[in-house]
Amino acid sequence: MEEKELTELIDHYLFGRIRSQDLARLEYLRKTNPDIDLQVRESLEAFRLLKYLRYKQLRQKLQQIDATDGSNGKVFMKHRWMLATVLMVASFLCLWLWTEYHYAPESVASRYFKAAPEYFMLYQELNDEDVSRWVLATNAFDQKNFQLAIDLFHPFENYEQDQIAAAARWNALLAYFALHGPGVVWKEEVIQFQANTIEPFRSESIRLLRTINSPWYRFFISRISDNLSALKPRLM
Amino acid sequence: MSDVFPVNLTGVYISPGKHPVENMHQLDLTPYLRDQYYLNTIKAGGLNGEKAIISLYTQYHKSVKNIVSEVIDIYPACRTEPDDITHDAFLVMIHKIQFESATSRSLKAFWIGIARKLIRNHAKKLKRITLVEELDEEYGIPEISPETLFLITEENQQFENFLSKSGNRCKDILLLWIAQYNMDEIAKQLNISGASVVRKMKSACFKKLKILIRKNNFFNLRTDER
Repeated sequence: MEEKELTELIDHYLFGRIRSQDLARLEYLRKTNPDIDLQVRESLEAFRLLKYLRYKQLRQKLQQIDATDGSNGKVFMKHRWMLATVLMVASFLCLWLWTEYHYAPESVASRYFKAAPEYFMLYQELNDEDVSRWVLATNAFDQKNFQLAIDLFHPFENYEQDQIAAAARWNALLAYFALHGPGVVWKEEVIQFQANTIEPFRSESIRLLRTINSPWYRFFISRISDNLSALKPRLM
Repeated sequence: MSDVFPVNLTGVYISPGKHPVENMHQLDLTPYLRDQYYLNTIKAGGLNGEKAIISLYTQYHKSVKNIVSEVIDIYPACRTEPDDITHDAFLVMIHKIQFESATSRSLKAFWIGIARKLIRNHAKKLKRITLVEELDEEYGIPEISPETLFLITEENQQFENFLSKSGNRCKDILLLWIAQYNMDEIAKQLNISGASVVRKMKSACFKKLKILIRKNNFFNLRTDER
């Protein structure tokens, strides 16, 4: 057997890719020729050592992957905490700004305001002058000119028709609320109004009082809003 | 080596039923198909084999490590780190795939199975655990024990030093050869002019290595063979 052929045979044997008839041949050669046997044994030993080196190298690669994963994880964790903090601060700011807007006396007054539609006024047979005064009052309220709105709604409070009188009184109370907030006097006026008025103003006034007396509203308006109002212009 | 082929991931794959499968991302969705690809590619070795080994490790190592940690907790006597066991088991698996033609439908399960055996054997070796009598049960000791394969023994380190002295070129060629790179790939990787040159260099290096072993008589040539 040529040396080249023997080397190939041993290579296949080392890699475990030897065919069964070649293996039988090699075994026979090893038994009959001590030099070949020694060569195979040396090759096996050298191969084992090379495998040791290969697995050592591979293990280092695996450790590198682990190290990279670890550092990536740390960066991700760091970024995740930063992101969570930013989101929390942003959420808090959004909530605060929304609450500030939602519970501002002007916003509350606008939501509860009752603008009587024109057909209603025609049905109630209001004269032209009264209609135009009512429209003026409504416009003043819409334009947040609350003092003018109070002045214009005030004459309607003694109107003959209950609906017009109640609407005027309710709107005037709301305009006062928008100007001065929920003071003690205003609350007493609303309670009195609620006792003597007709629907839907009674329900509306009850709802408004319930909102104003709610713990969240009192907490926000009386504690936080006052404390943070100095910060708000800067943040805005 | 030539009868195993890696699945072409980039081109259109024609199925046995002659249906072109253009979306090869299905490999990402079918674990068994993906494992079969890893198995074939690692068995074939070479550059693609190396990439597949790294990819396989990256794919499963976190979940395997978690399971290994849980198994180690069951055996308080086993004082090894989950990382070490995971690496050992991975290397044993690669050895079995490359040199013993091992097959498995799920490489992750195969990996975990080897890790479990290593942990049990390790715990048993320390003899600090009381197991229920299981007289005839073998814990499936791997034919290649990780100690002999991977431990950095004094002998192995001496050999490594000698090999480094004999030239890094030789070391590189032999390491690529053992990773089943073909001669063309080795030539390309190490910027050598051609495959025939590499073949000659490899033979010379391997011979040199055997002479080195014989001359220095590091090891009593073992009688136990593969």
